[in-house]
Amino acid sequence: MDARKKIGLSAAVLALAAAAMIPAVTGDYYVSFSTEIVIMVLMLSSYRIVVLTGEWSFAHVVLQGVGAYTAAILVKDWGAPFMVSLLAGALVAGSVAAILSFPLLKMRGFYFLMGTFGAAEAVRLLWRKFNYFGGTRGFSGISPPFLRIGNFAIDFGHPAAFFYLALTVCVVCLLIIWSIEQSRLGQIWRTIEQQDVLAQAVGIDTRRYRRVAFVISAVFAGVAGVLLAYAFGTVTPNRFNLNFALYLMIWAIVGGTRSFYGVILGGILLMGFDESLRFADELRPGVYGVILILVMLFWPQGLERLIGFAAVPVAKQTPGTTSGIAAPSKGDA
Amino acid sequence: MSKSLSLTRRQALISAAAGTTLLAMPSILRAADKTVKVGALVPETGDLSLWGLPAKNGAEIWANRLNKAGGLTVKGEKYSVEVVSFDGAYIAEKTLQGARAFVDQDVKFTMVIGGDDWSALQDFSNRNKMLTSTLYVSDLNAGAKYLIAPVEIHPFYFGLGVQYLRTTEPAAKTVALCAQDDVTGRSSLAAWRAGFDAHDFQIVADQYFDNSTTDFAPVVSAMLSAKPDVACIDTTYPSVALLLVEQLFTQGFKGKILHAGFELLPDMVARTSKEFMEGSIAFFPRFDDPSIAKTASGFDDPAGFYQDFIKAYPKEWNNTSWEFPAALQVWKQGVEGAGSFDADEVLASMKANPPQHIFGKARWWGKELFGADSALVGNWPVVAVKDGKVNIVDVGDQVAWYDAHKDVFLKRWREEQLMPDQKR
Repeated sequence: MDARKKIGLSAAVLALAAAAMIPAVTGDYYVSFSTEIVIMVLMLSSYRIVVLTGEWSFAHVVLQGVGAYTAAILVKDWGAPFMVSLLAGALVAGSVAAILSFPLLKMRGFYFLMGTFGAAEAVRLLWRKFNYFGGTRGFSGISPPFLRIGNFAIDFGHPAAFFYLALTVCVVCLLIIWSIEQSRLGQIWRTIEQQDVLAQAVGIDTRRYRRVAFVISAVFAGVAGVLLAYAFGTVTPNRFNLNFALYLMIWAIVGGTRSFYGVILGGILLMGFDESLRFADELRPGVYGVILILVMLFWPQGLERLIGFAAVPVAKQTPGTTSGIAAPSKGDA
Repeated sequence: MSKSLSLTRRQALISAAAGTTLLAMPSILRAADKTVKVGALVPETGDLSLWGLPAKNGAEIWANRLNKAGGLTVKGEKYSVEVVSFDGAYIAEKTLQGARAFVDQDVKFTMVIGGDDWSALQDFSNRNKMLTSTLYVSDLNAGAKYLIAPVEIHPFYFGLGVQYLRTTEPAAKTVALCAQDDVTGRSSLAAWRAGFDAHDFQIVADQYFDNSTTDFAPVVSAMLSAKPDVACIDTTYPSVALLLVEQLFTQGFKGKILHAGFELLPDMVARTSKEFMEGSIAFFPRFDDPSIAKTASGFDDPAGFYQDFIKAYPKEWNNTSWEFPAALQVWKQGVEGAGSFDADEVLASMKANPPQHIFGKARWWGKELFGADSALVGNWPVVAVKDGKVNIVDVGDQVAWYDAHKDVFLKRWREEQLMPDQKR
């Protein structure tokens, strides 16, 4: 293991230890907020899989919704246990992504982005139009998981218990995503992002690999959706609208998508920052917006460069690389 | 070195007088000794801040007035009321975060707008005995043990508006409806349809538009192509209603317009004309209406409250400005009756002795329609626009109207999957 990986691993262990301490040092409010951050970290990390192939999508939030709706239906109609919902949510979200991928992945770049917007709206429309999906009201009263083994019982309706559950699921998912990214599959995705035509020239079926990325990212978005449904006990179509898709995109851009930790850092810092602006009441969106614009203007490579600048000598940094849509990034996790 | 304490007779007299005065100090000064918190869990950002912020501000004005008058008396002790707020942004999980923050702060009574605000709260509310008020009838259900609708039970009162319209516009036959496709829009149109069915109007156009709609010309064109005598644009959110009214004016509509609140009436008048808006019907009175004291008999000094509000928040007066205070007034009666802030005791007290509703005598009702008697139902006013302002033109009994037209109401309510047995 090289020094850089050792530092990364140490930082991850420290961050995990710090996260595990949260319920011990804060009240339910901050524990619940931390659960929200954990779910968002999983969403951003899974979103980055699509970005690794050079694409940006508006459908990711809706695919999270597919996971959430699957869990809601299974719990409300069948009383399914948490693990069943979790697996089913991941599976259904992946399946929906697989179906959507056939028309969508015939497009690239901006056309793909617009295509995902249309597909996402179509799915949202289905949720709203059919009462099976709860219509405009969606689902509420989704019971939190409850574990009983003999005399030992855990009520995950308690914020701290659910936080640990969500954290565990998230860490497992992040390890899987990290492993995939380090594998040959991850290298092919980066190759497609950087040199699509060249990749085709050497015999790589780029559409197939982009499809795989789209489906795998949806599987983890589905998991995040299941966690969301259980965490807040409610699923409504409005929760998965364009606003949230835009927020996801902005956080990914501001965090930076070049490295594995960039989006995680971005998610944690920006959600924390947004929350810390509560004192500004109705001015909050304006203040938040101005700061986002400033970051994008003066720090286009994202917050990951905070660590990048500290870790890498200035002379070794590649000039002109950014992590935005206009200038596709290079995955160098 | 020690120094003995000695008082002259004059000093002793002054001390005694000061002590006596302190003990006999009016309750107004001693009220600050103890504080009880109430919470406004509302959207303070986004489109619905037009409802959320005036609601929060109204609650603060109400609390200030109450505190100045001596505060809340519970078992002989005086408490001042502090309003805390949280921006739920009308997003379920944010609202739940706010509820958790309120529990951490020991908030005794929470007020929400309702709809998406409530959906994530029910389980949490039951677990934490979080006494909460909503303005939406569609939130109420048998499982919501600590949820009440003590003021408005939107959209239950719409039938009264159609009843009034029938008396003033006997020649009107047809109506076109529209609303955004969400819980607010669907429950509203169900209630309006029942009203129009009950009073012999023919619905000639009926549509939902997407929440993200920004161009309302096609929506209004579709409505007007059916040549309606009446246009009902309810319950659309304030900014949307403004755009719809503007389109109705631009496309030459000549009939009456119905909307629950006309929150942006001054802007509507500015963009159309006083003549165009004349006779339009809504349900929220001004608090500087000459007859408000008589109509809002369950609200302490409505005119004085209005003056204090516009002094503190000029041009921010809105319908929700008085709804949260009216909810607080019901809660205050419950707390004083129970002699406690405990949610169970306050609820029991309120159920045993129905408090005075803002518009007079009321009773707990609703089991038939949403599975629990959680709505404090009494009279509700109908207002009509005259010379650019709304005036109270009628006051009707909501339950009496429902009892007279129960069949059509239940039919329309069921069509929109709003009955308790239809909820997912």
